[in-house]
Amino acid sequence: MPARVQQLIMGLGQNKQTNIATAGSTFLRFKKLDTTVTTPKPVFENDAAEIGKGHEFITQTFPSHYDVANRLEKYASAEFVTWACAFGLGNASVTGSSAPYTYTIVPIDPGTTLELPYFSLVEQVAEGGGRAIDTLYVGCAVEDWTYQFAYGPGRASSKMTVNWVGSGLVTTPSGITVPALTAENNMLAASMSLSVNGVDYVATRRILSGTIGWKNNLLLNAGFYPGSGMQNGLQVRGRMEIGARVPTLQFTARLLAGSTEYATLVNQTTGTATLSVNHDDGNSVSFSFPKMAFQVVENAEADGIVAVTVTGAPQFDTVSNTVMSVTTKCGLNSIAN
Amino acid sequence: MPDLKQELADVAAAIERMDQRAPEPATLPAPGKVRLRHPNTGDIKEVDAVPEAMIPIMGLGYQQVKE
Repeated sequence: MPARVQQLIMGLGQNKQTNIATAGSTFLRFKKLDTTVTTPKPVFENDAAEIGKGHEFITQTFPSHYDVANRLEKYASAEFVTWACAFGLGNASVTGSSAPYTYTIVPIDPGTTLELPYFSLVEQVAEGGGRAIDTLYVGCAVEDWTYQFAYGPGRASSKMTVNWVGSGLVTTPSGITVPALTAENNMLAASMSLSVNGVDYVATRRILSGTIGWKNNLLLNAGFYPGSGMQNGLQVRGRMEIGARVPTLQFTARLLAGSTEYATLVNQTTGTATLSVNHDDGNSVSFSFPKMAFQVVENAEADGIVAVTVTGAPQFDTVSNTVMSVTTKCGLNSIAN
Repeated sequence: MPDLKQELADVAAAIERMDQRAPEPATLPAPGKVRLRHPNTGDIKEVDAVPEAMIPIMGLGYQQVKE
């Protein structure tokens, strides 16, 4: 009997692992939008290109490594955005003695460490009284996340996407009892406030859509270092270090006679950029860039209305010692801690 | 030699007394404060538990101390 993809149950590690090889024990069960199912992909190489066989065909295969990666696409809830930013930026503090807890999240300082907190991820698919899939991925890290907002009704106006990479360490069957679904508090774009370089884009009713993102450019090949470890005769990563990280902000707004975007670009004026969304007082997210210039300003069109698309150039700020910070509130404690 | 033996006994007794002492209660940060520790230097800073105060310190690599 086949299984439907809606039977997929996914648990994300709540706490950071103690190291890349030791699985976490506490999981948050989330719903998601994408229909991808992760594969514990073993990679094999062969001798097709080697000389001396008398032909160009394969005569032998060789185990190489595990290649584990997938994406998570979700409506943006305070809980999931907190999870994504805490593991994706890497340095998260949580304050408050009871819910709602406040998370203060900044990128890790490369002078301190190059490794993000690792998390575990479990996927299970029930089938025929058993499980077609029951896999625990150990030692995973966030490659990138993107918060996306757009005009229009409903939860689709505010989404969060995460791409993650695994070390290759896999446990099957997982041995994990995934808890009940996490109660999520979705944050619609209708709740948004957005101020960039002194312009309040919500008060002027100009903002249409945009994204905020973070990419770690993980050094994946460097994870297969001499001695990194083996599983079933295939190499696994013993570390996943950050590469050259890239924060991004892009937004499209209606163009008015008094619009200042082009002048801000030409003059390379810098200022703060803050985007906040919330479900209620206890469930909210605020992305903040302490020093933002504009990289590209292009005229555009949306639904027949003339608009302008701005690509920001976030700069490192020597006062707040960061290029970006995220402050969230939600009812979950100890995410990435 | 007897003096040396006595000295060793005194030291052993002093160590035993220290071991028997109740451990000092761990100090907690003041209300409304949070402690951040640098993982390499061990330096600890106690700051207001608000993002505005925490971000500049965390940006330098300081991490929250679990109390």
